[in-house]
Amino acid sequence: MFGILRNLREGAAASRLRERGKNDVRPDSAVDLARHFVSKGRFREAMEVVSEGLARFPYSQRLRELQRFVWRELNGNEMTRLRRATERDGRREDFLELIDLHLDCEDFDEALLAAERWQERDSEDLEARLVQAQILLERFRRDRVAADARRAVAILKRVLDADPERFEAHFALARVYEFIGATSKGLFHVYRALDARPDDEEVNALYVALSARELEQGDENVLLNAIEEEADRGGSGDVAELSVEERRQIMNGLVRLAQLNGVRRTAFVDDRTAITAEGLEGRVHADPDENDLCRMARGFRGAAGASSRRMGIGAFRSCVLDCGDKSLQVHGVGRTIVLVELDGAHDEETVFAECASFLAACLRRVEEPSRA
Amino acid sequence: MREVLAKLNEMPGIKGSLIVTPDGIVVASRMDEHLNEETTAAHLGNVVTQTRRLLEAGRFPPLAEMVLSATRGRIVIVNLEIFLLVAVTNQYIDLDITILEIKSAAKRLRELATMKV
Repeated sequence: MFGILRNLREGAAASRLRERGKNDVRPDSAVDLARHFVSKGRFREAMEVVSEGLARFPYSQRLRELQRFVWRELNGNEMTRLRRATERDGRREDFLELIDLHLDCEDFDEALLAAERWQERDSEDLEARLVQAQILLERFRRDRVAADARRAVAILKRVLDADPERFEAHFALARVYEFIGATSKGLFHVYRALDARPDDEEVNALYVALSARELEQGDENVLLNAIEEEADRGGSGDVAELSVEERRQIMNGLVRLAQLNGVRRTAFVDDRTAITAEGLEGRVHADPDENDLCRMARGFRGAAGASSRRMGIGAFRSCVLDCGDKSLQVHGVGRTIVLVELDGAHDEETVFAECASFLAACLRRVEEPSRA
Repeated sequence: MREVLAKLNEMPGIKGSLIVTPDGIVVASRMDEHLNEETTAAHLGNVVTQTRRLLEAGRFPPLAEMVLSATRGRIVIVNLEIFLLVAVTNQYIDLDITILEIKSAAKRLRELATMKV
């Protein structure tokens, strides 16, 4: 009897959260609903909610964290089994299965570690090196960190030293050179790949694409640096003007942040606008040139955005600066930055979560262009 | 100094640590083989210099600590005035525990620096 009532109550709570999620312009409802399912041990439903949430809010850190957690709950046993099997037997099939499992959750770091363990175990196995290079190249396409591409290219060249005709290595090099715009090097490797497999459709398509390109003007390093810089700028192309509704939502979000305990001022800056809000009553200013907080947000975007990739830690997401009595939180994706100035007592975690949620909401996928 | 860094690097999730001057000159370092010490130090110097400049312009007190998070890792910086202790970590670390360890290493380094003076 009590069990039925409890189930009904839980079902009603889930329905309420689902309804709320349909109209929520922030990722909070999806996070709450996924957590609700997690607390009930319903991990598959939690994963569905997280996936749907991430489709709408691709930059929500909390949804990403939940995705990783739920994925581990769903696949933990299989992962442990495979890890033990790779340690015990070191079979190629087990390594490949383990790597696939990590890649399913876009966990490139763990996949790479598994590939490195495989190579340590069997240093002669060129397959292990090829897989390592492919993981690095996938991560490079996602994060645009040039160091990944450099490492992958070095590994592929070592594979070719050992086996100069290896199709997979030539093809992978041709693809990465095509991606960064190193046309002549790409053509060299695509010809070698065509020698090995003249009828391969993918290689032929790559050949057509490369043949239509102009030859590169800079060397490999210059081209790779240009890819990083392009990603720091948040992609090319014009960004649509803010609509009245979007501006209103940003202002409301800033006011909400400004009203949190300990928050003095908040700022939102992107290529289209710069707005600040301050005080409990949430006074809003939209005169970016006169505002030191907006200047600070822009300056920080320039410094941290460019450097984090080059330091090998990927794309900038947030920074907490503790200056004794005062502190700052900066959250950013590409050219969009949210900055919060805090003083006195505040709950850092709450402010952090609210800022991250606000930024994810500002970058939610409606029809706006994607930003790296 | 190297011993302090080596001990710090034993913490799970820490990929490397450095002691740098505020303008990015490396005093000591222990880095993961995949991280480039010179590049990291040069960019750290850039971030710290720019941040300090921005904080000064905004009339903020001097920077004490900074945690920079990115898609693939974090940089934790503790300002020891004459130099900075920097730890490079993965993105999954328990920040509370790691920061305690980094502060403990910073305290030890401060003691070492005082002894030398």
